[in-house]
Amino acid sequence: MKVSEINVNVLPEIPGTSEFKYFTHRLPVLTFTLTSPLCLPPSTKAEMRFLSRLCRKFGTASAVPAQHSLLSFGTGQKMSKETLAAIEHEFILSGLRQGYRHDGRGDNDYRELRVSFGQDYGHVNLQLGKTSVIVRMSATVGKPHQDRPFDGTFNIQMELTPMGSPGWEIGRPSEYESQVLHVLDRVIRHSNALDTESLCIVKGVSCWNITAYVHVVDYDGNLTDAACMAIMAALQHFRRPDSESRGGEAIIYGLEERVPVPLNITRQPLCVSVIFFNDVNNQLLDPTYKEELAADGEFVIGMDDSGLVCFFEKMAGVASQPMSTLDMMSVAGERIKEHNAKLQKALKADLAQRAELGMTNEAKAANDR
Amino acid sequence: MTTPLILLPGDEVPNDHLPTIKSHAKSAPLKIGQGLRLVSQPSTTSTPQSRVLKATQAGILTTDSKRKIVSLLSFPNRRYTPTVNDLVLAQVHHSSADYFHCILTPHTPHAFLPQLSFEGASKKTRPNLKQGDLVYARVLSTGVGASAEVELTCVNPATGKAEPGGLGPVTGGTVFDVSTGMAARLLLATSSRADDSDDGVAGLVIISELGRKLANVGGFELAVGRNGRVWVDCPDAEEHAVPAILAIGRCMQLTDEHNLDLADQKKLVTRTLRELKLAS
Repeated sequence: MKVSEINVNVLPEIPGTSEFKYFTHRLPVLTFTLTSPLCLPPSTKAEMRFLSRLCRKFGTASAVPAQHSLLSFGTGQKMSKETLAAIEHEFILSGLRQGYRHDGRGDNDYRELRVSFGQDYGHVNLQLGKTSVIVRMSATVGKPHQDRPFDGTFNIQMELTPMGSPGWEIGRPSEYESQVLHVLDRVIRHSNALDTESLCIVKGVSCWNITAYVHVVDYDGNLTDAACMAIMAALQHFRRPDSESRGGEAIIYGLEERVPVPLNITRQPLCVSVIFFNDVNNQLLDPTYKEELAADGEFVIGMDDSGLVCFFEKMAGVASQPMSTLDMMSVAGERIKEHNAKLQKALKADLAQRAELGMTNEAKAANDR
Repeated sequence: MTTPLILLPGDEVPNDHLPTIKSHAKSAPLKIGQGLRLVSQPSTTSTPQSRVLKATQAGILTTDSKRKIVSLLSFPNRRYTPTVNDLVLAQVHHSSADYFHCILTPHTPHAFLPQLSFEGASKKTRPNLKQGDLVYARVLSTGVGASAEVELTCVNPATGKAEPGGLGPVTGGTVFDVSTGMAARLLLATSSRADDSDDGVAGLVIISELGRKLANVGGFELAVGRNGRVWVDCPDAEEHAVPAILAIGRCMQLTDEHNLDLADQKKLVTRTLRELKLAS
């Protein structure tokens, strides 16, 4: 059996449980759950031994070279069909060999992160370097799913349009689009970051449907991380109208009638994409578009502030080194903490500004009277 | 220095802004560069004043009175429209029986480069270019209409030589992406020798500054493509090659993005070289 992919997901239903999924040719061949999750930062050696024992037990280690015992995958294709000029590719690699990135960052550095909020609740503009994302939230009242009468719904919608990059076409979803959406879905939705039970209004009859619309305005690599941060910021910024159930009937209060309520956010997971190269021993965070094109492989780590991994996936590309992959986990944890702190700071500043504005508006209204 | 004349598409170029034209017809003809089009040709009998030049893009009118060139310096933008005689850096996408199919800008139709249009190329000696190779070429024709095909060449058809010098496949170094406006300015800055380098050409001093400061690592080579790509190499820099090339690329891109003035450009060069440990 040749393993092409391993997924580790935290199951939201059973706390403290991870699900390991083994894929061969994109088909899950083996799934098992573990009650002690890969809590991080990893106690590297013990963790490694444990995992490689698992691999041996399930007969995966014998099929792949020993040095790639854990995270070795079949050779996938490059992620994008667009190509770099040959000399450009070679130059990026030779720069990395000597420790230079094009924009002068270190391997584990992110580009400048700028977050601002629009006038409405849940309107976030986020820029990561030249990658620019706008997220808007919407809340509508609808019917809950039949099998989950106590839950509201949360969806992420994204369409890559030519506004972001001339290579993207409307109405023809690319492989890249579904890949990014898959990661966002897994990291934010499946980790239960938004408590959907709190969105229930009347059991089985009506609930809130929350949707995050992601618009990519400019694209210069690492869309996944930027979109993930923007959605998380929007979820925390958004206020939905207050609602109440009275005698089996749903009552929705307008924004003027009652103060709108924030969503119930249980955790703040973010993701970190890592690219790596076949013959250069570097792993880079926050790749630019050109670096993404030059990369030989990529994996994404999703984690929350406490270091709980909710997502790990390696989509395509050459084999990565298991030890350095695990090292990357702790680096990713640090970055995620930094980013969450930045988002919190921006949210707090915006809230303070709104409060001030609200007071002056109230005073003005009182004066008018 | 006179105030710059800004033209919008369709504007006529005032005659008093054209390089002075001597009345006797023997003098060199006026050359029209990027962004301008001759609308009505003066007949031999009429006066030169009947010549009408119109702008096809928005830009600043620039004239070179020595070489009698009048052209339009367009503003930084990302879209490149091929015009005849432009020097471009084309990337080979694939080759067919007679042509190399090249990319001038991503996601636009391919340009065609005949396999025999290289200096001294014959059926046996033509270069074997693969996908991803870069060619410094000249736009030979752009065609008319919707199905217009852009044809490139690396030789002057009249002489069979690679004119102007340097046309052909490029190897080593790397390419950087800049806006088309920046590419036009870089072309002006690199093609005309500035007598007084402090003044700068087309508002650019980075090239002359970098040239002076990188002389200790053996200088650098530059090929500017009007399609917004600039090829840079430091063939003699050895272990300093990567930082030196990066410094040049970073200076060009930052100047382009932040629209730096001359003083800021000088500061940028000093700072970048210090960051990359190429200067103390």
